[in-house]
Amino acid sequence: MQQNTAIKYKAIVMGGSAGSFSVVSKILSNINPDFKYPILICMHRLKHIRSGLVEGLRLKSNLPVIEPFDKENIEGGKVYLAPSNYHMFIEIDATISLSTEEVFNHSRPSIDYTFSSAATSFREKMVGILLTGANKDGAIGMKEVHARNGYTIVQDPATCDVQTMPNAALQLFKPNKLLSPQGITDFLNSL
Amino acid sequence: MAIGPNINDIREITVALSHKLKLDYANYAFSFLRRRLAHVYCALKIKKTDTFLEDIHSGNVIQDFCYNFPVGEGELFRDPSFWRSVRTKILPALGDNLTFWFPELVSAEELYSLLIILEEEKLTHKAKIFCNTKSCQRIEEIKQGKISLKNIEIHKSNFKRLELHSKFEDFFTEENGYAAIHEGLLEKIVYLNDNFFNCVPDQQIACTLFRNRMLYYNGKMQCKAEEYLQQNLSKGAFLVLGIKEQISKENELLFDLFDSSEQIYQVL
Repeated sequence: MQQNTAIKYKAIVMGGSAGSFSVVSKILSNINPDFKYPILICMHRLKHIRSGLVEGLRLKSNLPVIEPFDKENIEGGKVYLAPSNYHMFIEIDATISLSTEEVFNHSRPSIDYTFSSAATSFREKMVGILLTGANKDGAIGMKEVHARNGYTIVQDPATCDVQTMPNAALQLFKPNKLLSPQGITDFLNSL
Repeated sequence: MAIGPNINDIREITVALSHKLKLDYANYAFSFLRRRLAHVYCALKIKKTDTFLEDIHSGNVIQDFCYNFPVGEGELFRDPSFWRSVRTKILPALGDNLTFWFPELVSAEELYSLLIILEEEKLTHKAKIFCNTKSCQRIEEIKQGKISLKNIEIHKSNFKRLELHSKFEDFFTEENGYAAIHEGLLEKIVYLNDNFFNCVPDQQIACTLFRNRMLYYNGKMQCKAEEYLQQNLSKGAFLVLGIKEQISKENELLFDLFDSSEQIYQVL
């Protein structure tokens, strides 16, 4: 794969719903241990179950996985998972802000909110990755990433457990890449 | 995602609000201001910022703003494990001083959750609960004791996780699209119709519930709020934050962490 050494990003932002846990787990277990960018992940999850997801990801991840507190600084080489029952926003000063504002797209955390705020804060200095999922949350946020010249990757629907989420994004814009989970891992390791 | 005022508009709006409400709105987190003012514009059908500014200055829109701007909790017993801690850890530690304070009460759910826990423990008659809110409409709603049935399944699901002896129906009656909390539970509430920086309870407080309120402040306002609360609470008083909030590094020497998983602090 071509090396993207000239491109400098401030963050990788990922969103997914149904079926995305195994994809995220696979990516994190194969990512280079010296990966230098922060990875921010917003996954739909059960609101009343606080623990389990982050511990599950930690088991195999090559990078530390954190459920951030409000106003936590974003640091390279760490994975930040949106906490259950909170929206996760990215601020211009590279901190995370959490919110209990109303559910959006029937979801809290909402993937659209995370992508949209990241697009505002990082503009072209981010990679947005939308994974498998069973509703349309994330599509509009990814379109905003695309509109602000961020690099966009949508999981190839042919490799998705549920295609609704990636297909919703593909109806709104043409991403830079359509990749399988392995392709996404290879891309990240090439950065 | 609603469309709201631009950056320059937000600056003018925060100056006007700060003057009118005696609270520095510029110290809310900027991204939150942008989102929440968009929400207010949508809720109040505001088309022009100039008109909104005139209505702030004249006072015409202040009550509607105070009702719509803050973020409510939306569910009874959000984080059931926290409410179990209130019952099993905080209440036994309080003894006879059952004075509670909600410095920024935005919706009824958090207050009703406490009332139900107190009733379950047969402590209602000993309790006194102070609530700061600028919204008169909110106070009237809380006094009516009604919550929408929209989230009733969430309320009941959270309630079940509390593992109380009582049933949900022991506290609420469902009528005409609402669940109404039994009136007797609302008798021990004192409403303070101003923000907590300007108005504090006239009594020593044993436990302050301030969950998920500082999420919307910037770092400066969070520090100020923590210092102000510490100054107005006595040594050993409990301060409860949301499970994803922490006391700022600047003020961590002012508080002792009583329960790290539920972010329950005590004043040092």
